[in-house]
Amino acid sequence: MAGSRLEKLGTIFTRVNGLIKSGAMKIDDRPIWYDVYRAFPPESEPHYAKPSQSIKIPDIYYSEDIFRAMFHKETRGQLPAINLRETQQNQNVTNIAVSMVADNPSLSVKEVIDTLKKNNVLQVYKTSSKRFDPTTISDSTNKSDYNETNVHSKETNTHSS
Amino acid sequence: MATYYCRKIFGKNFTHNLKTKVCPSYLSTLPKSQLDVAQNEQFLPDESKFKLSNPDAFDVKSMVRIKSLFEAGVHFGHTEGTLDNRMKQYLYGNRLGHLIIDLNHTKRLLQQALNVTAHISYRGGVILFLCQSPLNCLTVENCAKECGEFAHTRYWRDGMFTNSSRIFKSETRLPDLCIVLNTLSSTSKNNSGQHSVLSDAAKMLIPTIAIVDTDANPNIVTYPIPGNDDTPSAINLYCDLFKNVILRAKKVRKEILDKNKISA
Repeated sequence: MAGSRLEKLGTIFTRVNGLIKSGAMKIDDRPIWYDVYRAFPPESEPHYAKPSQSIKIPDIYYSEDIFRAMFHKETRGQLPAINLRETQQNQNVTNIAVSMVADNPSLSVKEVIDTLKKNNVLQVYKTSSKRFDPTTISDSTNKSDYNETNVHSKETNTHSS
Repeated sequence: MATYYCRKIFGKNFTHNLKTKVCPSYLSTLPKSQLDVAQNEQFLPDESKFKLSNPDAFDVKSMVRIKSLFEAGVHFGHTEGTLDNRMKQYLYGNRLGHLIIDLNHTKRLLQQALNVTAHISYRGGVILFLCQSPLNCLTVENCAKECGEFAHTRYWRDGMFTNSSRIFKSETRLPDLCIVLNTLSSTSKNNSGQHSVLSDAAKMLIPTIAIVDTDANPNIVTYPIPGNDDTPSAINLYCDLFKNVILRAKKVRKEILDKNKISA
């Protein structure tokens, strides 16, 4: 097939148009996409040297960000991994904590962490593994290492309470 | 007789006449819109037969919902420092150093890309899926297999399109549409890491549909779709959409072909 291989000049549509106009390509030999492109042209033409627009990108902040930062500071290293295949993103621990505070703004970070540990959403590293119920935890990746850090966590728990 | 012509030329619209005589429109250097060029040529015999007059002939608009895009994590971009300035127009904001893509743009452009895919597939076009991220290779290959199209998810050898008869050792039918699910890869050094298929397809006059993340260059892509191109859930979503739309278009094509066979 005849064709110009200068991809930096014009668009694929203008180049095929030029071929048709000059007679190098017969109108019956036009590519399949030609009519489709004519009927539905792209929003901005695919030129190689299209300049970028100067737009300022706004910052995104939420009112619960202060709580989220404090929560992450307290629970550093304790949050379970996030499953990337999971599409239900409101099930991760931080989102549950944030929604708890949204329902009841008077809760402090410590209280939220204690409730999460009570409900087994956030893992509690206890010495007696009988009280630990693995079925309630959605993600199983952190299950194996709760025995290793149990002593340290217990100590911090007693100090805080 | 001569006076008649003189009067006609030097009449009221002298300047206009002069302009049209001296500088016909096809010699003008002013930019003109693409679609005017071949407008005078009547070569669409039965447009209703080709479904082009209907903006949504294959009912793809209802396939894309912002909620499902959001749940699949399509809005997550890369970090602030890796931003390609040509992607700025598709961004929603900057969340603590990470860029967030505006899903309104994604939805609109994805719908258009799906529509174009459906039309090209309906016309019997060959569609090639491309992806270079090892994480999502298998998803893309399975998707292509399920809808009876082709996939290339490995190392892109130079000249696969531009020198195809030499590389494949026989005359080769090139695809009619390339769907690129991941435009950047760490392995290719030329084109600043951009998948070479984008420039090669533009050279060979093949349209491309590509998922462009915030660090990619959307310029040479015919139908760019801003969106996350790394997460498996997002790639799954794109693959499902393209697969379903291709299967739908093929079904319509088969119905029409069968009908014509009976009537003929």
